[in-house]
Amino acid sequence: MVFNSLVFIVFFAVVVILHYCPFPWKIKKINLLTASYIFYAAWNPPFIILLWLSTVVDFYMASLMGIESNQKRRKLYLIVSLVLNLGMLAYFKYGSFLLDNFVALLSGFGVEYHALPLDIILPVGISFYTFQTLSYTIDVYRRTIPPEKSFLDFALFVTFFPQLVAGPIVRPQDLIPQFKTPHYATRKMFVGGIALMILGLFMKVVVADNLLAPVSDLIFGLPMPVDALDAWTGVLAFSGQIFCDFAGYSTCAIGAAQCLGFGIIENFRYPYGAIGFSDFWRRWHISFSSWLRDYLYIPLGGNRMGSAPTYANLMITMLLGGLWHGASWTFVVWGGLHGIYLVIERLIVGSRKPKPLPERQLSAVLVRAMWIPVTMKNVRVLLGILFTFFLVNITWVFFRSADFGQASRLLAAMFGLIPNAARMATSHDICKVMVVMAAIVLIHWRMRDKDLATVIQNTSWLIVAAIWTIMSVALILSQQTGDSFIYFQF
Amino acid sequence: MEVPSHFSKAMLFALIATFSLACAWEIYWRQRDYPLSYNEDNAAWANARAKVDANDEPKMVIIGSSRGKFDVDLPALKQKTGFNPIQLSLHGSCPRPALVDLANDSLFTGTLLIDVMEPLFFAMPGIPPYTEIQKRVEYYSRWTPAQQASHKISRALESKLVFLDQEAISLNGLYTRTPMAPREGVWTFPVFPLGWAYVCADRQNKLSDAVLNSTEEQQKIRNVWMQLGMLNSHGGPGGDTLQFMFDVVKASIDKLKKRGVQVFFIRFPSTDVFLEAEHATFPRKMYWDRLLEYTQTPGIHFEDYPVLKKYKCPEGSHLSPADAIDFTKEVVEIMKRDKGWKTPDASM
Repeated sequence: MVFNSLVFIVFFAVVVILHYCPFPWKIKKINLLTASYIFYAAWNPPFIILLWLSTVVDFYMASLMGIESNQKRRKLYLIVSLVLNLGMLAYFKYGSFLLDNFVALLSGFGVEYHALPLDIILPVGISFYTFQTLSYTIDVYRRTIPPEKSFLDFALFVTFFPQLVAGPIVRPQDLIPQFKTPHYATRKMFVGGIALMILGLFMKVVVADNLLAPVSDLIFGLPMPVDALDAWTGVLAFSGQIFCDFAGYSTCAIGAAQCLGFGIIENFRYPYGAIGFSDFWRRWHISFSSWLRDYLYIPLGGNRMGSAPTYANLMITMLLGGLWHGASWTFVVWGGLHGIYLVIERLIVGSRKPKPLPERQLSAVLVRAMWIPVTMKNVRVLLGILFTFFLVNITWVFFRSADFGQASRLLAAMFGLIPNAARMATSHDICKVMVVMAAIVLIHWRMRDKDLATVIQNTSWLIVAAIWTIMSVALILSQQTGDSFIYFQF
Repeated sequence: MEVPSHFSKAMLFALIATFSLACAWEIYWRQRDYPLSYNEDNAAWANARAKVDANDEPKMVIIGSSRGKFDVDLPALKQKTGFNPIQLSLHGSCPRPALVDLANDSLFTGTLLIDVMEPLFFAMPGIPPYTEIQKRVEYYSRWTPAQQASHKISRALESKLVFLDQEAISLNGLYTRTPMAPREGVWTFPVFPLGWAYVCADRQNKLSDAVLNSTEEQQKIRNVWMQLGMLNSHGGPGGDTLQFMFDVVKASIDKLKKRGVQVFFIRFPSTDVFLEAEHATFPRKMYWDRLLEYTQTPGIHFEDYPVLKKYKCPEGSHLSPADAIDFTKEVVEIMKRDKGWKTPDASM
């Protein structure tokens, strides 16, 4: 079930009604767990067995770790959990990829081997719930948290429907304690939750699916090289699409949880307002980047072992982070590019101290009486944002392209290396992509150090009402339901 | 999100304003006599396709492009054949992917009517007429229970609200109608006049009264056909490409015939310059006659029967709803009389 479907409205209404009926808290948790299983089974019922398997094995392995003092046995229980979870992920997500690469490797050695295609269907959200449940067993193994005693609370932690299939990847210590005591939304919280869901749906349905997806699908679906303007239009469209699609989902998830009285961590913080790539990864898919930091980068040694190992650790983390997104070498290159950016940024930042800017001199020349005052600081921030955004767009080419041929064609086109290439994007396409992307970058720039709630607090209620009315009306007008979120496939 | 103090008031206002604007929007379209039309999305096709697999009884299925949707009147077909027909045609699409899909579906028995609009029937793989129907076939194979439930709710809303017309008056539909200077060297998909046709609950299409009563509106649609290249003079595929298409069609039809499915090709009417262009680019001997001969399948070409030839398409390519009723009845008579079609009971 997706948030942007009509059936979800009915489903969510029933869940909310049941949650606010005068039942004991345990019954309400059972209701939530049942609803979460229905939510998941509505895609492909048999895959719910994988979810159960993961839940049962991790619960018992963690319980055994809790009572066992022998370190070797504790490690064995952790390995069982890792093998099961990563094994399922490897089979369902990377099975065909591994087989293809194995065949290619044999072919490289002159051995002709024709494997039967595996034809595996990817269970929705497997990467998300695998990482979420792994964080639990690893934390119990590290004795960061005690093993959970209530199977119901643990099952609900693994399965909680708002964030089950596309995150945010919630940590056990953030969510499980919330199931211990009755949680309900106050009227204000509930209204805020609904408002977040409208915002998330607007981002997904109106901006990502209606305005941007058709253009990015067009350009990335072409078998031939295109004109530079077309290439940039397509890449920018995808850049906006993937942000609005994924951040839209996270916003809906946070809103849905809030309506039920639960808090889920923020997953995006205006990432296209980032200056540099450390900043970008503090703003993009925060729950995933912090997971990589805590369970991969730091265990590898992090930045504690000198410069060269730090760079190697960064690269390994980002390459694996890339592979997490999909079973294709293009995702690995995407991660690798981010790793290279991070390494270069560390090299530059580590080698020089920031100089104070001649604020007054420049400000005297530039016009101040604007909506966004043109100061040296603002200019520097904007240039930093635009340069980071430019580099991020280069990486999206690999993320979205079906293969390296398409990626290289698009990159060549973006830098004007293909003369007389095809023009495919219409005036309407170019106009809407440029306007939407300019708006997104502008909003991210202005909001990069701000908090949405504070901005709303300081804005007239009529303007807030008008903005939410426009978003709601646009949602109704878009008339599009049921398209999957991009990150479901990851 | 920490909820600001005045937020509830703003949200209440937004709720009332949204509801009021939605009502005003609905009233606006109703006052313009805009016809109520169902969406032609993936789920609508999948819903029709699912009827083929609903049970193992014989079915009457139509595949093809918009002519199959406009020119076959489903109630008339049901009345004349006793079958509850299933409309699987899709506007602007090639029927070959749907044919292959049905051939591979062992649950499908009965009768299959295939609309042959040559430029679409012989469309190359990889281009929209082919990929659009291919997408629907693939969508049906992974149609989730949640999507099925959403479709049911959506249909209930579409049956009541005129403004729920995804193709024409959605945000994207309205945006594409915004006048804007075309980009040099870029082909832009033409825009159909608003409300020129509508889709019924059973997926039959009908030309609207506004088109039937106005030659000016009819001319606007003719202009769209021209922009879509229906008067282009370059011919259809030939050589190995054409032979490959014939082979795929024959293989599928042989599979169907093995299961006892009765297959009929139908060439629906087109009028004046459009008919002339189709004759010129897809000569009958090379395509239609060869298709029937190679696949050993009966076909009904409207030009072969005076009772069918008399019909004129108001906008050059589709019959009026009234003519579609008579045309359908005549076609069934010909199928029974000349082409050996057996009634449902006899065919089992």
